[in-house]
Amino acid sequence: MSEYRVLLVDDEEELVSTLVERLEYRGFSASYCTNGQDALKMLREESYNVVVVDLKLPGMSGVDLLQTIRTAYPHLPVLMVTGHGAGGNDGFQPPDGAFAFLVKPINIDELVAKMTEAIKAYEPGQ
Amino acid sequence: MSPDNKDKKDVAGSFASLTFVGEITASVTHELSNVVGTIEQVSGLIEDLTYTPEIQDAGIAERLMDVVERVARQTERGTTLIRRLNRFAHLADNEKVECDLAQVLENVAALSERLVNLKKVNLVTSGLADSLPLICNPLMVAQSVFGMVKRVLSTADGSEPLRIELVGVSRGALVTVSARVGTDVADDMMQAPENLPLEAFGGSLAHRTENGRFILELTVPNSAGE
Repeated sequence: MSEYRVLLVDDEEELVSTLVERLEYRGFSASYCTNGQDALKMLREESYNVVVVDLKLPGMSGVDLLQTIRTAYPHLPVLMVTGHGAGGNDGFQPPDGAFAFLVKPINIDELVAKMTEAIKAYEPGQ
Repeated sequence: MSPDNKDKKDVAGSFASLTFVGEITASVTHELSNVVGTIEQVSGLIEDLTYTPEIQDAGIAERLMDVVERVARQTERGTTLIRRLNRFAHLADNEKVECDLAQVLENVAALSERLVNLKKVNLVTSGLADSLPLICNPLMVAQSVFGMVKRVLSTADGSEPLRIELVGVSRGALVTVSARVGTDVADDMMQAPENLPLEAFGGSLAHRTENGRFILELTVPNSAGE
């Protein structure tokens, strides 16, 4: 597998750092940060094939980050992660612009499959 | 302030307090979900490590996988409980809302199961698999059904399951909770429980004994158009 570069954004540092390690075992080059501002800085400094964003982030929300990425990097797919699927009737509506939504707890195989699907869908010529 | 207005203000204040409890609980369930999610990923990482040559060569992969499976069982259990608690907490979001009563009661039944089992009684449900949408105060309906379960449970002998049944009726729903009665149950226990918040959703509660079973029946009106 070619080494796809993935950026994960989640304020649960132990969770996201463990995910990074697990993704690296699966052939990805993964990095993480814990807030939206750092994510935008990392996106300016490095190129990524896909970004995975938690909906609830401190400061800049996951939805705001999604919209900023969609505007600044229209060819970069974004997956959103939410705990809302575990929730109830709290009126949650998935925002537009995300390639897919994943519900916590994250299944690593599902995450890999969705990321790969997103990367392939956004590859030039698709 | 007229007595009526004071009562309305008291009820609104009470529900605001419940909403507060619900919001905090829902927020904590999100935190707990992250805790369980992190444990799950760390356990997954241990599983990943079992496939590395170092672990394979050390001959402990099988023991580690056994540990991983035990952790997975508990995280799955935790996730289910958190999901149910989260749904329950969100019942306090609205005083009157369109909801799937079957889903609300399925959750109440699941969350009541441990309490019922502690009395060595099994719990079975019927009519909760199919959607039954109606407009009501779901938290107060849930509280009433839980009160019914507790009352019926206090009379149950455990020889047959405690049953929670839901059926749609014209202009609403009928919730029945019943169980076989024990031999030494006092007559005053074979009554409908008091202090249930029936007025909050216009419900009515009836009780009867039939073929040795104590039965409570709650009518939940559909508040559409009110």
